[in-house]
Amino acid sequence: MHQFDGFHGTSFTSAEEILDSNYELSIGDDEWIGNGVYFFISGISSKPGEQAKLWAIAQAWDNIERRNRYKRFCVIKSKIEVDDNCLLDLTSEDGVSVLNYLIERFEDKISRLNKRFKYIDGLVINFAVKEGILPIEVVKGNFYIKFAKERIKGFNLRTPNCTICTVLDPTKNIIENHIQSTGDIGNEAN
Amino acid sequence: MKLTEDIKKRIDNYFDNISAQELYETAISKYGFKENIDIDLDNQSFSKVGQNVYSSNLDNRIDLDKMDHNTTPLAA
Repeated sequence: MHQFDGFHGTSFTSAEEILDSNYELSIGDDEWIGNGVYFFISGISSKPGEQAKLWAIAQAWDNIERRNRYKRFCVIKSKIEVDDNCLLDLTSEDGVSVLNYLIERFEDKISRLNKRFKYIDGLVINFAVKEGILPIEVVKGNFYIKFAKERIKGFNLRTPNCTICTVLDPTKNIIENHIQSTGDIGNEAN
Repeated sequence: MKLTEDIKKRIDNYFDNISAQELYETAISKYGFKENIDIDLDNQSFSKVGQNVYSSNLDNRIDLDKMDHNTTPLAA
């Protein structure tokens, strides 16, 4: 069994709903590493809680309206528990081998129609889970994520700066939640 | 999760028991896969380019008729 802490940055209002529903209302569609609830975790960065805060601040900004959508952010710290066989760890060679083999078999079949797909990690993972091919419950991966500073300064690197994970069924794999930090966006953004 | 014999078998079993057409339709309608209709021309060059029209059922079309037929380097 694998147990680790995940940090989820959001608005204070959403955090209250999340704590009431154990994330049931915040499962999103995402092409990064599949549909689920996303967390910053230890890996490339030793400060995932800080990254979750920066994410909540960056996400508050509405670029069209030129103002923050919410004034208070919140970081929730959650304890995630998953069986080793149900964790697809794409930061490891083992996990990448599974994903590559899946895509190879997929591509081999589709090529018989003389067709090609754009293979996006998240779509392939959603497919493998919902078709019942692999018993995936949690997926980990390294990504380059743009926070407010990177967005303002136009940084867009390929070198990952975060390790994130998605939990597909929070009611099954999240065993504990509590608020790690809260604050006003205005005080933190500058 | 590792690529064990059991995991390999699960993956093989799925793809051995679905037709290419069924997989194609499932991937698009249920999971939002999109066809890759890009032509990969990176690091290539051609001394001559003939008439060629690429089209697909997504109505994305690249018409090469108007290109220089003599020397057209297409490297990025």
